[in-house]
Amino acid sequence: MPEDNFLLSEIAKGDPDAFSELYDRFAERVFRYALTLLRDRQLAEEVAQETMVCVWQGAGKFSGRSQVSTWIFGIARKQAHNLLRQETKCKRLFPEATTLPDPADVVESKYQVLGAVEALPPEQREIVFLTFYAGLPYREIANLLDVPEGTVKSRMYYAKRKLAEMLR
Amino acid sequence: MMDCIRANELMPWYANNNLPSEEAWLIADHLVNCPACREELRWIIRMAREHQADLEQMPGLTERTWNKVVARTRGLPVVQVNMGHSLLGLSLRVLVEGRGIPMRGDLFLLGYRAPLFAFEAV
Ligand SMILES: [Zn+2]
Repeated sequence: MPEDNFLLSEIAKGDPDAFSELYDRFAERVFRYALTLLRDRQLAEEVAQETMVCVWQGAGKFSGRSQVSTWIFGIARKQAHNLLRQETKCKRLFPEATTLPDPADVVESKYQVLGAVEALPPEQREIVFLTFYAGLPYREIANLLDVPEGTVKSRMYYAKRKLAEMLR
Repeated sequence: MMDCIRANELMPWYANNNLPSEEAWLIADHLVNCPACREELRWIIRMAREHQADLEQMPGLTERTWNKVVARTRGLPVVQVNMGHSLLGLSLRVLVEGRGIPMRGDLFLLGYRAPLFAFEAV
Protein backbone atom coordinates (compact mmCIF):
# COMPACT_ATOMS: atom_id res chain seq x y z
CA MET A 1 0.00 0.00 0.00
CA PRO A 2 1.50 3.37 -0.98
CA GLU A 3 2.54 5.72 1.83
CA ASP A 4 0.46 8.83 2.49
CA ASN A 5 3.46 10.98 1.56
CA PHE A 6 3.76 9.27 -1.81
CA LEU A 7 0.05 9.74 -2.52
CA LEU A 8 0.33 13.42 -1.68
CA SER A 9 3.26 13.92 -4.04
CA GLU A 10 1.26 12.20 -6.80
CA ILE A 11 -1.73 14.44 -6.06
CA ALA A 12 0.56 17.45 -6.40
CA LYS A 13 1.23 16.25 -9.96
CA GLY A 14 -2.52 16.03 -10.58
CA ASP A 15 -3.03 12.27 -10.24
CA PRO A 16 -6.76 11.60 -9.68
CA ASP A 17 -6.26 7.97 -8.62
CA ALA A 18 -3.94 9.03 -5.83
CA PHE A 19 -6.53 11.57 -4.73
CA SER A 20 -9.29 8.99 -4.72
CA GLU A 21 -7.13 6.72 -2.54
CA LEU A 22 -6.25 9.51 -0.12
CA TYR A 23 -9.91 10.52 0.07
CA ASP A 24 -10.80 6.96 1.06
CA ARG A 25 -8.15 7.02 3.78
CA PHE A 26 -8.96 10.39 5.28
CA ALA A 27 -12.36 11.88 4.41
CA GLU A 28 -14.25 9.80 6.95
CA ARG A 29 -11.76 10.58 9.73
CA VAL A 30 -11.85 14.27 8.87
CA PHE A 31 -15.63 14.15 9.00
CA ARG A 32 -15.61 12.54 12.44
CA TYR A 33 -13.00 14.99 13.67
CA ALA A 34 -15.18 17.89 12.50
CA LEU A 35 -18.17 16.26 14.14
CA THR A 36 -16.20 16.07 17.39
CA LEU A 37 -15.39 19.78 17.13
CA LEU A 38 -18.71 21.11 15.80
CA ARG A 39 -21.35 18.54 16.81
CA ASP A 40 -23.28 19.28 13.67
CA ARG A 41 -23.51 16.76 10.84
CA GLN A 42 -24.15 19.23 8.07
CA LEU A 43 -21.28 21.49 9.08
CA ALA A 44 -18.99 18.50 9.54
CA GLU A 45 -19.79 17.37 5.98
CA GLU A 46 -18.97 20.84 4.77
CA VAL A 47 -15.64 20.73 6.61
CA ALA A 48 -14.83 17.34 5.08
CA GLN A 49 -15.62 18.66 1.62
CA GLU A 50 -13.61 21.88 2.00
CA THR A 51 -10.68 20.01 3.54
CA MET A 52 -10.42 17.47 0.74
CA VAL A 53 -10.66 20.19 -1.90
CA CYS A 54 -7.84 22.04 -0.07
CA VAL A 55 -5.79 18.83 -0.06
CA TRP A 56 -6.17 18.55 -3.83
CA GLN A 57 -5.28 22.19 -4.38
CA GLY A 58 -2.52 22.43 -1.79
CA ALA A 59 -0.80 19.04 -1.99
CA GLY A 60 2.29 20.70 -3.44
CA LYS A 61 2.61 22.89 -0.36
CA PHE A 62 3.01 19.99 2.07
CA SER A 63 6.45 20.47 3.60
CA GLY A 64 6.91 17.01 5.08
CA ARG A 65 7.71 18.43 8.51
CA SER A 66 4.73 16.64 10.04
CA GLN A 67 2.81 13.47 9.27
CA VAL A 68 0.37 13.77 6.38
CA SER A 69 -2.47 13.06 8.80
CA THR A 70 -1.44 15.97 11.02
CA TRP A 71 -1.34 18.26 8.00
CA ILE A 72 -4.81 17.17 6.85
CA PHE A 73 -6.33 17.41 10.34
CA GLY A 74 -4.75 20.86 10.60
CA ILE A 75 -6.60 21.98 7.47
CA ALA A 76 -9.82 20.50 8.84
CA ARG A 77 -9.35 22.30 12.13
CA LYS A 78 -8.91 25.64 10.41
CA GLN A 79 -11.99 25.00 8.25
CA ALA A 80 -14.02 24.02 11.31
CA HIS A 81 -12.98 27.15 13.20
CA ASN A 82 -13.78 29.38 10.21
CA LEU A 83 -17.21 27.81 9.91
CA LEU A 84 -17.81 28.11 13.61
CA ARG A 85 -16.97 31.83 13.48
CA GLN A 86 -19.36 32.38 10.57
CA GLU A 87 -22.07 30.33 12.17
CA THR A 88 -21.75 32.09 15.49
CA LYS A 89 -22.05 35.39 13.68
CA CYS A 90 -25.23 34.20 12.01
CA LYS A 91 -26.42 32.67 15.29
CA ARG A 92 -27.39 29.57 13.37
CA LEU A 93 -25.31 27.26 15.47
CA PHE A 94 -26.23 26.20 18.94
CA PRO A 95 -22.89 25.10 20.40
CA GLU A 96 -24.31 22.15 22.25
CA ALA A 97 -26.90 21.20 19.63
CA THR A 98 -25.85 17.85 18.38
CA THR A 99 -26.53 14.92 16.16
CA LEU A 100 -25.07 12.72 18.84
CA PRO A 101 -27.20 11.54 21.69
CA ASP A 102 -27.25 13.41 24.97
CA PRO A 103 -24.36 12.13 27.13
CA ALA A 104 -26.67 11.68 30.09
CA ASP A 105 -28.85 9.32 28.08
CA VAL A 106 -26.07 7.27 26.57
CA VAL A 107 -24.10 6.34 29.62
CA GLU A 108 -26.42 3.39 30.08
CA SER A 109 -26.73 2.64 26.39
CA LYS A 110 -24.42 0.93 23.92
CA TYR A 111 -22.46 4.11 23.18
CA GLN A 112 -21.15 4.26 26.71
CA VAL A 113 -17.63 5.46 26.01
CA LEU A 114 -18.63 7.87 23.26
CA GLY A 115 -21.28 9.32 25.54
CA ALA A 116 -18.72 9.87 28.27
CA VAL A 117 -16.25 11.48 25.84
CA GLU A 118 -19.05 13.74 24.63
CA ALA A 119 -19.49 14.99 28.17
CA LEU A 120 -15.87 16.23 28.34
CA PRO A 121 -14.94 19.88 27.75
CA PRO A 122 -14.24 20.51 24.03
CA GLU A 123 -10.44 20.75 24.33
CA GLN A 124 -10.26 17.41 26.17
CA ARG A 125 -12.71 15.79 23.75
CA GLU A 126 -10.47 16.85 20.89
CA ILE A 127 -7.34 15.32 22.44
CA VAL A 128 -9.16 12.06 23.12
CA PHE A 129 -10.29 11.93 19.49
CA LEU A 130 -6.87 12.72 18.09
CA THR A 131 -5.15 10.17 20.33
CA PHE A 132 -7.56 7.25 20.28
CA TYR A 133 -9.35 7.59 16.96
CA ALA A 134 -6.91 9.45 14.73
CA GLY A 135 -3.95 7.67 16.36
CA LEU A 136 -1.62 10.67 16.47
CA PRO A 137 1.50 10.82 18.70
CA TYR A 138 1.42 13.56 21.33
CA ARG A 139 4.10 15.54 19.46
CA GLU A 140 1.97 15.66 16.34
CA ILE A 141 -1.05 16.72 18.38
CA ALA A 142 0.95 19.54 19.98
CA ASN A 143 2.05 20.58 16.52
CA LEU A 144 -1.52 20.45 15.18
CA LEU A 145 -3.03 22.43 18.06
CA ASP A 146 -0.03 24.72 18.34
CA VAL A 147 0.29 24.15 22.09
CA PRO A 148 3.21 22.79 24.17
CA GLU A 149 3.50 19.01 24.47
CA GLY A 150 2.92 19.35 28.22
CA THR A 151 -0.49 20.87 27.53
CA VAL A 152 -1.48 17.89 25.38
CA LYS A 153 -0.41 15.48 28.12
CA SER A 154 -2.18 17.36 30.89
CA ARG A 155 -5.42 17.68 28.89
CA MET A 156 -5.31 13.95 28.30
CA TYR A 157 -4.53 13.33 31.97
CA TYR A 158 -7.63 15.25 33.10
CA ALA A 159 -9.76 13.71 30.34
CA LYS A 160 -8.72 10.26 31.51
CA ARG A 161 -9.55 11.09 35.10
CA LYS A 162 -13.04 12.28 34.19
CA LEU A 163 -13.64 9.29 31.95
CA ALA A 164 -12.61 7.01 34.79
CA GLU A 165 -15.12 8.69 37.10
CA MET A 166 -17.89 8.22 34.55
CA LEU A 167 -17.05 4.74 33.31
CA ARG A 168 -15.23 2.78 35.97
CA MET B 1 13.57 5.86 36.20
CA MET B 2 9.95 6.44 35.45
CA ASP B 3 7.41 6.93 38.22
CA CYS B 4 3.67 6.18 38.12
CA ILE B 5 2.70 9.80 37.47
CA ARG B 6 4.88 10.11 34.40
CA ALA B 7 3.92 6.61 33.20
CA ASN B 8 0.25 7.52 33.56
CA GLU B 9 0.73 10.67 31.56
CA LEU B 10 2.24 8.82 28.61
CA MET B 11 0.12 5.68 28.85
CA PRO B 12 -2.50 6.60 26.19
CA TRP B 13 0.24 6.87 23.58
CA TYR B 14 1.97 3.77 24.85
CA ALA B 15 -1.36 1.95 24.43
CA ASN B 16 -1.49 3.24 20.84
CA ASN B 17 2.05 2.21 20.08
CA ASN B 18 2.76 5.86 19.37
CA LEU B 19 5.59 6.76 21.74
CA PRO B 20 9.19 7.46 20.78
CA SER B 21 11.03 4.22 21.46
CA GLU B 22 13.11 5.52 24.37
CA GLU B 23 9.92 6.50 26.26
CA ALA B 24 8.22 3.25 25.31
CA TRP B 25 11.13 1.28 26.81
CA LEU B 26 10.98 3.25 30.04
CA ILE B 27 7.28 2.53 30.39
CA ALA B 28 7.71 -1.14 29.53
CA ASP B 29 10.34 -1.33 32.29
CA HIS B 30 8.04 0.37 34.75
CA LEU B 31 5.10 -1.90 33.88
CA VAL B 32 7.05 -5.02 34.79
CA ASN B 33 7.06 -4.00 38.44
CA CYS B 34 3.85 -1.96 38.74
CA PRO B 35 0.50 -3.79 38.79
CA ALA B 36 -1.43 -0.50 39.17
CA CYS B 37 -0.04 0.86 35.92
CA ARG B 38 -0.63 -2.46 34.19
CA GLU B 39 -4.28 -2.20 35.23
CA GLU B 40 -4.38 1.40 33.97
CA LEU B 41 -2.99 0.25 30.62
CA ARG B 42 -5.62 -2.48 30.29
CA TRP B 43 -8.35 0.04 31.01
CA ILE B 44 -7.06 2.55 28.47
CA ILE B 45 -6.81 -0.07 25.75
CA ARG B 46 -10.37 -1.23 26.42
CA MET B 47 -11.69 2.33 26.46
CA ALA B 48 -9.84 3.30 23.27
CA ARG B 49 -11.27 0.28 21.45
CA GLU B 50 -14.79 1.02 22.59
CA HIS B 51 -14.47 4.69 21.68
CA GLN B 52 -13.39 3.71 18.17
CA ALA B 53 -16.13 1.11 17.83
CA ASP B 54 -18.77 3.60 19.06
CA LEU B 55 -17.61 6.26 16.61
CA GLU B 56 -17.60 3.82 13.73
CA GLN B 57 -21.19 2.88 14.40
CA MET B 58 -22.35 6.47 13.98
CA PRO B 59 -23.48 7.25 10.42
CA GLY B 60 -20.56 8.45 8.31
CA LEU B 61 -20.05 10.61 5.25
CA THR B 62 -22.36 10.17 2.31
CA GLU B 63 -21.46 9.69 -1.35
CA ARG B 64 -22.79 13.20 -1.94
CA THR B 65 -19.66 14.69 -0.36
CA TRP B 66 -17.39 12.76 -2.71
CA ASN B 67 -19.46 13.90 -5.69
CA LYS B 68 -19.18 17.53 -4.62
CA VAL B 69 -15.43 17.19 -4.06
CA VAL B 70 -15.02 15.65 -7.52
CA ALA B 71 -17.04 18.40 -9.14
CA ARG B 72 -14.78 20.98 -7.50
CA THR B 73 -11.50 19.27 -8.33
CA ARG B 74 -11.67 19.21 -12.14
CA GLY B 75 -14.12 16.35 -12.48
CA LEU B 76 -11.39 13.78 -12.06
CA PRO B 77 -11.38 11.06 -14.68
CA VAL B 78 -10.69 7.89 -12.80
CA VAL B 79 -12.04 5.19 -15.05
CA GLN B 80 -11.57 5.50 -18.74
CA VAL B 81 -13.77 3.69 -21.25
CA ASN B 82 -12.57 3.53 -24.82
CA MET B 83 -15.48 3.13 -27.17
CA GLY B 84 -14.25 4.11 -30.61
CA HIS B 85 -12.36 2.32 -33.32
CA SER B 86 -9.29 3.36 -35.18
CA LEU B 87 -10.84 3.80 -38.61
CA LEU B 88 -9.46 7.06 -39.97
CA GLY B 89 -8.14 7.81 -36.50
CA LEU B 90 -11.66 8.34 -35.21
CA SER B 91 -12.29 7.34 -31.65
CA LEU B 92 -14.57 8.32 -28.86
CA ARG B 93 -13.35 8.32 -25.32
CA VAL B 94 -15.76 8.63 -22.45
CA LEU B 95 -14.29 9.44 -19.09
CA VAL B 96 -16.28 8.05 -16.27
CA GLU B 97 -15.79 9.36 -12.80
CA GLY B 98 -14.58 6.67 -10.41
CA ARG B 99 -17.81 6.29 -8.49
CA GLY B 100 -20.09 5.98 -11.45
CA ILE B 101 -20.91 9.48 -12.63
CA PRO B 102 -20.04 10.27 -16.25
CA MET B 103 -18.11 13.51 -16.39
CA ARG B 104 -17.07 14.16 -19.96
CA GLY B 105 -16.40 12.68 -23.35
CA ASP B 106 -13.85 13.44 -26.03
CA LEU B 107 -13.96 12.78 -29.74
CA PHE B 108 -10.58 12.04 -31.26
CA LEU B 109 -10.27 12.76 -34.96
CA LEU B 110 -6.94 12.02 -36.58
CA GLY B 111 -5.24 12.54 -33.30
CA TYR B 112 -6.96 15.86 -32.56
CA ARG B 113 -9.19 16.05 -29.55
CA ALA B 114 -12.59 17.69 -29.71
CA PRO B 115 -14.46 17.92 -26.38
CA LEU B 116 -17.89 16.47 -26.80
CA PHE B 117 -19.68 17.12 -23.59
CA ALA B 118 -18.94 18.03 -20.05
CA PHE B 119 -21.10 18.35 -17.04
CA GLU B 120 -20.71 18.54 -13.35
CA ALA B 121 -22.03 16.05 -10.90
CA VAL B 122 -23.29 17.59 -7.72
ZN1 LIG C 1 3.17 2.64 38.16
